[in-house]
Amino acid sequence: MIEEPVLDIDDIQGNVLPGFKKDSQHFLFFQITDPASARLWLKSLAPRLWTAREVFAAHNMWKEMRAKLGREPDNLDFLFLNCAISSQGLAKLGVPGIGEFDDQAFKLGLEERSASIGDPPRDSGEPGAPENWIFGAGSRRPDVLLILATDDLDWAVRTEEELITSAQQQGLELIHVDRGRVRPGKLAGHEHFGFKDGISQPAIRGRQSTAQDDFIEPRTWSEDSAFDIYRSRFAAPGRLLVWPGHFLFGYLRQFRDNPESGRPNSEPPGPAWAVNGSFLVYRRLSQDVQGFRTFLAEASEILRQNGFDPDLTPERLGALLVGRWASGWPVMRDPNVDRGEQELGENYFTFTEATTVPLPNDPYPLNPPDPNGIICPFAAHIRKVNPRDDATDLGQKERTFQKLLLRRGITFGPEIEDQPQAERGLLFVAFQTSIVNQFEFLMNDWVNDANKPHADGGVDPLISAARNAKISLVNGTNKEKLSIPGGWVVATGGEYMFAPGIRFFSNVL
Amino acid sequence: MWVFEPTAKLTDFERVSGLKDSWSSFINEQYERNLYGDALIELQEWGRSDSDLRVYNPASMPILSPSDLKNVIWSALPTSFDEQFNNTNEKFTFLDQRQRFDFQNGSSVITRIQDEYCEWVVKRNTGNKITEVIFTSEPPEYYNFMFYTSQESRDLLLDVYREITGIQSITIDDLVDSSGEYDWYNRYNNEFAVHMQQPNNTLGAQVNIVSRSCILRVNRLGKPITDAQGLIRCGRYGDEARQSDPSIGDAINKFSRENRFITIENPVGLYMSDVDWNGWETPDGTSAEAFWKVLRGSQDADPNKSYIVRAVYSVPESKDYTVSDIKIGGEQIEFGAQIAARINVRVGVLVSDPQQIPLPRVIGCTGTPPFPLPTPTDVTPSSTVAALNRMSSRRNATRTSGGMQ
Repeated sequence: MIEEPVLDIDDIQGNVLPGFKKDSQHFLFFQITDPASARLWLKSLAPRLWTAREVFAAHNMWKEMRAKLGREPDNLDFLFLNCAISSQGLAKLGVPGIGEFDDQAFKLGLEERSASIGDPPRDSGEPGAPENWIFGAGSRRPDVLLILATDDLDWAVRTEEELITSAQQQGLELIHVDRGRVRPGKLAGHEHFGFKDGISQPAIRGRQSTAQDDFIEPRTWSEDSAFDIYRSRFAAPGRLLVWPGHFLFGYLRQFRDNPESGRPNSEPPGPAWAVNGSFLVYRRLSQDVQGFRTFLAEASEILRQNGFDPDLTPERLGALLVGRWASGWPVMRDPNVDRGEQELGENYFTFTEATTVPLPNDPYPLNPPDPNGIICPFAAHIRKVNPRDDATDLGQKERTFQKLLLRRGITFGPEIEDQPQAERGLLFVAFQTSIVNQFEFLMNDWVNDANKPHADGGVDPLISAARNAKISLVNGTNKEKLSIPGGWVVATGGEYMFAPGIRFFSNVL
Repeated sequence: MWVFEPTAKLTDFERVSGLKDSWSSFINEQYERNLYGDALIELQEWGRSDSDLRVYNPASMPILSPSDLKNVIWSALPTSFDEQFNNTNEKFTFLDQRQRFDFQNGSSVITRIQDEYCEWVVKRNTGNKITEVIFTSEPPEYYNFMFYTSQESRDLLLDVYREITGIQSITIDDLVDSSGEYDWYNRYNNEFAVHMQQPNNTLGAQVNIVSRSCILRVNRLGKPITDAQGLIRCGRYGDEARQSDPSIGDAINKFSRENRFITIENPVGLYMSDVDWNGWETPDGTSAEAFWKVLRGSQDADPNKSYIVRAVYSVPESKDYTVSDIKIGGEQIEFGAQIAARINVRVGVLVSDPQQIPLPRVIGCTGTPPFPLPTPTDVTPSSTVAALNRMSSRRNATRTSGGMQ
């Protein structure tokens, strides 16, 4: 059995692990105007920052109450608070050792890197270019981020006001607020194009205590020996077990191409105070929902008319672009039918190889092999950013483990039906220990390159910056090179930040 | 009659009568040695035959129609050494310089260590600023071939060296070792990256990996091995630490499992395909792409059709800045490796439709004693391939010496 490291969940911030998962999440961005005062204020925040242990406990209590009541509890809520600081912010605070980080992306910040991840170049004037961002560029680069999260919007607003007032009295100036809000009713957990999001998350290897099986991420496989083939690499169906050093400073990373082994002395390079911290990528992404819907309607009509697929619906075309139906059900398991939300099996599939062992109580077809991107196009969003068992341009699939992100994003903006002209989109939040080798790798090498991870696969039709790129679709013997106008997802701000362990606030600041 | 084109369709050989034909024979010999030598011999050890090979020599068997060009693409920046370094600058410094390479027989050589079939050298001015970075994907065999084939071809080798380096005083003595053999590590190749020199960055390795990775494999329990890592460990082709070799092997084996016939694109070679220019910034706003010059081979708007084997990234003297003043993703270019990270390399293969003939029979892993294996179910042959399958052997009846030692 693999000896998994014990993670210091009393120091790790709760949005890194296990994630806040609250209906309202407000992101408050500040610049430091008086470093000495700001330092004291941030230090004073330490007792208010929620640890991983506390957020785990809160989630567990909520789940227990839901089980007890048979419905979601309406009088049990928490207000989580976490904090992250940019490289610029750390420098202003006079924190030593920033140069010990190896990650140039973090040190330079998002604005400098944005063109290399596909945003239009600075001063091009195009949508998505930094000069058009709401914040994060020029004189509006943030130093400090506060994340507060609760299910109670009013509570969030009240706390936001209190924090802003307090911060502004002590050396910080508010430059921007994003208010993320889960979509209403059955659309909760779906991004604004309509697709259920956040289904496939890597599972961090590690334990809460020295007890052998006190895992951070529960291992949910049935005891049936048929699942033994998965246990060493997956915490649960589709959830790859990734060494903690890919998400947290101070822990081991994977040993070469062996996901079961941690490499000795492989802790990510950084200053001593970075232990238990994680880089946070924040991207404010606007989504053109109407443009996307119009494209699906028009393109599916064309593909019906030209004989590619006489039965192609906009919904199915959307599913092919994403790799999942709107419900989250994977195209690999049902290319023609949306089975609706099925939490049990929605992440249980592979691409290249067939899945052969059915999960208990999962009645739906398992995925056949699709090594050529016929069932799920190589360009499909979920196949670009997590090719699962596909070999990639990196070589063997075992290297994909090291590229994954802990995603903590949330939608923002009203429903299009309520306010058609309003802005809406996604507040993309992701944690990792190498922005260069994880987030930026995914963007540069896989999302924006038509030939990676699969040669001639096409760019990611949803989030690539490419315009009028072509992707390959196959229906039986019919092949189609579909032109993707793109531009439905546009960057409007963001920054690369660092979410330190909580002791950083009390002991280092 | 089938002719193998010179790598990247280079025209050097046209200057010496008969040299193109000799090159074609040489490539033919590569197929003979690797496909009908190494790969077939291993199959025969398991009681199999050349009917279990799905890679073929186009000089021996007509290219199946239809066949589509499929590429395997990877980054020119090696990842093999990643775990030796905890710091990117240290890694890039290592990659930019020649290093010791240890052979299995205990000998060693100082060589460019870049192992993704694309090597580079960095030129700096007295202020340590980069003035140019030269990239090559030219195979060493191309130069070996000129040295050893004839006196005329040896003269051509000198001409090519002089053209590439701009140094007219080079003599043949500058290119040989103490035994009088062509020296891959001669000072001009070291300095100008005339051709690849990392010992495994060869055409021979390419043909070997393609040839041997088409063999279908099972483990000792008879379970098919189909993943990239399992295949390269089982088949022992190439270097599993690279990005390229496991990727090539995975793609070829997949085609073979689908009962497709595969041959390497003519001209046989490994090619730089394209450069990612996103995020490059020059001091005066000039497009950074303007400073990329393909010197040998060709670049196509479709990276899948590029045949770049030599290129240089340099800023003209008319500009008052150097390569080091250009930024990628906000970082000044301090290493050739930063540019290599933006270059893709490809190998192209022609792949037929799946054929209605029996699937290739599986064997166990290289180096394991044969054990009893299942026989696959027969499939109705299609006319074309059935005819080919009836041939006693697809080996080339007119083997050549290739003119190489």
